[in-house]
Amino acid sequence: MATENTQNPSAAKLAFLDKIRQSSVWRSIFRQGYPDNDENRSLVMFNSFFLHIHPVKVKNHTIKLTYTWGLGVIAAFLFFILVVTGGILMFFYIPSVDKAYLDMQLLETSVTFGMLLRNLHRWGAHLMVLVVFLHMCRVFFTGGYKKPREFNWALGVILWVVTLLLSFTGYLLPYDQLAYWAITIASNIAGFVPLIGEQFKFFLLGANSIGQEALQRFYALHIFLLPFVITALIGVHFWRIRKDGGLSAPASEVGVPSADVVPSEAGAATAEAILPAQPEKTYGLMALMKRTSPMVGKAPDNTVFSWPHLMVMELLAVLGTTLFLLILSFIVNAPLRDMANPNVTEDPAKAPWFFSSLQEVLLHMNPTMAGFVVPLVVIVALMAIPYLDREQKNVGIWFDSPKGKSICLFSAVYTTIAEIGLVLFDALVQWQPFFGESELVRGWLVPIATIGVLMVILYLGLRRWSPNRREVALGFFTAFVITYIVLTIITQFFRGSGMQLMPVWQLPPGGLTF
Amino acid sequence: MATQNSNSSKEEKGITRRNFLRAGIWTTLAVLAVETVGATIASMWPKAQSSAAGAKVRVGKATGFPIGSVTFFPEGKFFLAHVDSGFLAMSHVCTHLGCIVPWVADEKSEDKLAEKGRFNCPCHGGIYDRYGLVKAGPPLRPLDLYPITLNGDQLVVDTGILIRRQVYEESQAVKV
Ligand code: HEM
Ligand code: FES
Repeated sequence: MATENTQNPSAAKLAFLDKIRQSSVWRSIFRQGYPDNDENRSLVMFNSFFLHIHPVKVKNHTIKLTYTWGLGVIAAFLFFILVVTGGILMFFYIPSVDKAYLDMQLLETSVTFGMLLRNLHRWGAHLMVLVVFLHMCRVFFTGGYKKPREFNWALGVILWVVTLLLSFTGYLLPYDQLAYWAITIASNIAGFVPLIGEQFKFFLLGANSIGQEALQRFYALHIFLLPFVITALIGVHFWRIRKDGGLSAPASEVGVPSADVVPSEAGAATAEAILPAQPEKTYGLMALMKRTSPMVGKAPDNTVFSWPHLMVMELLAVLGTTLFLLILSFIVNAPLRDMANPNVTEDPAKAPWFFSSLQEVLLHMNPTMAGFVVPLVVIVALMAIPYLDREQKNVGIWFDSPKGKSICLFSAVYTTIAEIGLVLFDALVQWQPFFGESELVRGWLVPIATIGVLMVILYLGLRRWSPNRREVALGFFTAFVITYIVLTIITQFFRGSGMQLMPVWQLPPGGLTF
Repeated sequence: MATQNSNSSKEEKGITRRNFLRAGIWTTLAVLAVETVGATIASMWPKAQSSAAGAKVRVGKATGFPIGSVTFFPEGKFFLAHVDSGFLAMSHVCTHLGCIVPWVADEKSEDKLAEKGRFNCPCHGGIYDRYGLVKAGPPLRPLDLYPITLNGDQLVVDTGILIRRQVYEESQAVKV
């Protein structure tokens, strides 16, 4: 025995680890053994608080990288990173107009790893905004919003808005020039909300003008209220994913024998014999009542155990995100402009990139229209999508079908040309005098009519495919995404001094905001 | 049957205990909700109404500013423009969304008083001419004015009073 042990130290180590795993302390923490058999793979999901949001088994299709790209998990993980780094930042930051900016400088120069900390938080926030948007796109283009997931989609739209608000309120805290003028413009937009605008602005700023009160209010929103709200919403979002029957998948993927259970040599012929006719779901029995349960009548389906398949994918997503964010934060420093100066606006004064498209819209129409009506309509329209498009065909398939792909391509090309054309037209053609002095006409009717006509043309273009509602939705959502991207690029890269159009190589220093 | 019928019709007349309690609970909840929201807003409603009282700024003799000139006074945060019909003192805050508009002396002029010079807003491309009138971009009204008074031959600008205007009229300019 003794010689055996010395010859094979790893066996001794294993035996030792085994002893620990058998100990009563270990067993009191982890009730089941290591999940290397199906029973323990089930139990681990029930018993672990941290894993219990996962189902015991997931569809094979769910863990396909090219289906979700892990974007939802990455968004949630980025939020986690932001909470941690944000919490550490709070040790170094005082939300005071006199101290905030100096604190940021001190953080960068005299706190060990302070710059890295700031970079992680800043770039993490930008990345989260980007990833949440991409996640929304993936859900849309795979039809993941369809029944029974309508509500979770609507919830997701709210998550997107709250993510933007979180990012924006954080943008103000360094109290540099970027922060100050972003707050100025945003609060003045709030002032253009119909009826309650002026009071709303006053309430937001906590005073008649930007100062200590405003900084403190945005601080409270950023470190407490909004994170609290988004945590709760993410909780509901995850809960609904489970209750909606896990992730969406093509019909063909549901109801096919699982590769995990059927030995491959056994083949499809014997599948019926091996598999029970009843669903293989392992729900605890709480009580009996006359109801349908999620996923009833869908077995035997094509599923795998979450441990290890889903766990590995999630681990990879988390690791990849961490590495990417770390490397980015080592290479690029978060910007800190001059201290806020109420007497000088930087030229050009650009919004953070995720609001660039909104800034571009503000150049061309009445502020109430651009800052209030347009965002409101976009949010409501996005939330309404699953209630307007009830087509159940092709759920879980990217771009629906080859036809869907052509529709998206057409819409993307059309929108790009139309957007660029419009921006050039507004810059080069003096159309305003033609419509007289009336703001109602110039600021409201002309923009509404232009957008309306462009949408009608898009719809007429789509008619070529005699589209169903899903395909119309594909066309219009693509137009929305492309508009967002094209306007962002134009504002960030092609507007210089005085926000006039100019090519990217002629931009003044500081012409880019990120 | 008959008693049952009369029973139910009796119930329909008055409020049952159950309905009374139910209405009471919902009313209490509604009142509490309104109070909570209302009290939160009320407690967070800003008290500070003060806006720093503007000072009167003496800008000097009218003869120091030739026609067509635009001069910035940092202490009063306004531009003094000498236009054909007199003097205008204009706030440097853009009437669109509140950015600070600089005077750009070497850009093409938008008025007939001089070859060059105009206001360019750095935020959404608003452009104003010497009179403070909107020549391009989204601002809704001309730059706001401060009243100018004459103290002997000295021009005095009162930065405590801000005048909003929709158009330019000759009477806005103070003749010297
Ligand atoms: C803070 C932001 C968000 C987080 C943390 C989050 C997280 C997640 C996660 C982890 C999933 C699982 C599948 C996957 O990874 O793709 C998911 C699915 C889903 N999300 Fe989100 N999400 C967020 C925002 C959004 C937004 C903006 C939308 C849409 C407007 C949305 C709509 C949905 C829907 C409908 C599903 C189910 C998709 C399916 O079954 O195929 N979520 N979300
Ligand atoms: S703030 Fe001047 S154009 Fe918008």
